[in-house]
Amino acid sequence: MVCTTYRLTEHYHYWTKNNPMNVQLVPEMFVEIPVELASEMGIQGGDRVKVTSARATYTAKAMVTRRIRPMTIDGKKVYQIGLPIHQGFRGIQEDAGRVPRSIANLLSPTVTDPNAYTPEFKGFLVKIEKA
Amino acid sequence: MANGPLEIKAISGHAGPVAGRNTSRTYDVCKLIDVTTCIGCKACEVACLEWNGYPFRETVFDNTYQTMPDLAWNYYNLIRFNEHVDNDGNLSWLMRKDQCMHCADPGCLRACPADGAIVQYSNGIVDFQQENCIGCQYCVSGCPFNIPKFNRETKKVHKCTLCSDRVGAGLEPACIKACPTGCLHFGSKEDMQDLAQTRVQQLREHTSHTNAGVYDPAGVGGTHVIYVLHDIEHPELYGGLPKNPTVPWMVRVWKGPLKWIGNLAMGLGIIGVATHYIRYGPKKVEEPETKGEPK
Repeated sequence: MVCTTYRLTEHYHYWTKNNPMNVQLVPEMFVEIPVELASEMGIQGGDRVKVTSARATYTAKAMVTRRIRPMTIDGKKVYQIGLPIHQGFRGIQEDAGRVPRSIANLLSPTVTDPNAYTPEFKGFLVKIEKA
Repeated sequence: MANGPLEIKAISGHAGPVAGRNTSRTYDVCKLIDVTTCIGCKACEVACLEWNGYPFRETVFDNTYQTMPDLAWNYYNLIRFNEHVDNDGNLSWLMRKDQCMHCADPGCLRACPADGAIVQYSNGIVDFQQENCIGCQYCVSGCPFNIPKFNRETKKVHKCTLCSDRVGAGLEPACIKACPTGCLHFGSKEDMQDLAQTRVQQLREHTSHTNAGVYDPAGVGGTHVIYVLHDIEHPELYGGLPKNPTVPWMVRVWKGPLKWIGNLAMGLGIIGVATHYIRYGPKKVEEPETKGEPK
């Protein structure tokens, strides 16, 4: 399973989860899961899932989507899941205990491109399971 | 425009075009929403709440990017997200800004029985005047777009005002000011129609959206909020935008012929009663015949 991390248009890094207006737009972070994988694993939209990499675990609700499609690489079916990074240690929802305090960047490797020093957050291996 | 509002022509140190330039109360105003360049950031939703002074609310995760399932009395503006797979298996993620369309022939105004509760300005804005609203919600059933929302506590109906307060002062609506991609435009109806047509041409010639078109439904006399859609043949894909919206026939019959038939019947009734009075005079109450002597 390949995992990628990204930002949302509604949030700015880890700042705006302290701002009611942004929190209202996207109240909590989620894991975007392809429809095919979700039906294979029996995951419904809104179910809590646990994503584990070699470095850490991350829990959030599942968002089942058609926007991420399974890929066929070298004859094998490979799924990709997407993780918005904005969930973090403190924020309106975190402080209220409504969302777990798990951090996406703990999952991703601390590896950078030696030339440009761009971190490698866009493709790494994880395991996903129902939590 | 000697007596018109002051219009700002230039602003110092301001990035981008002057807000509200070329808007005037003497024109038919129009909001153009180019859904092909919307990124779903919902900045317009926040701008709308802030300008109208409504509170932020607690929302819940619902397996979608959409803030809430539907508009609310204090939430005039909502981006609707829809994933659509066409017959060839191509996926498109459609985002549409949903708010009052400000119809030229507004069903809400037709249906409203309260004096002065709904007004239509000469520039095309349809505005609710809550102090005159009696809370009957006929406007809700009169609207082909399902926009007006009822506040149960105050018993008043609210909807997008197209920021009539801002437009009246020569500014553009708050949502347009907030839009970061320039997918929202505001100006005279003619200008916006031209701009929309230009954009549609561009889409048809340079992209695969050969069905692109302008949504300005004639069934409600045209609207003062128009869309550029990827696929004009299927507006319902964009979160239930009706293809041929019309004022419901019940409202048309009731406020049209039925109203006059009712008035006529009432008039004829009065004439009938008067004629009867003149012809036969007042009804005489006959003394009840007494049977036998009272004991």
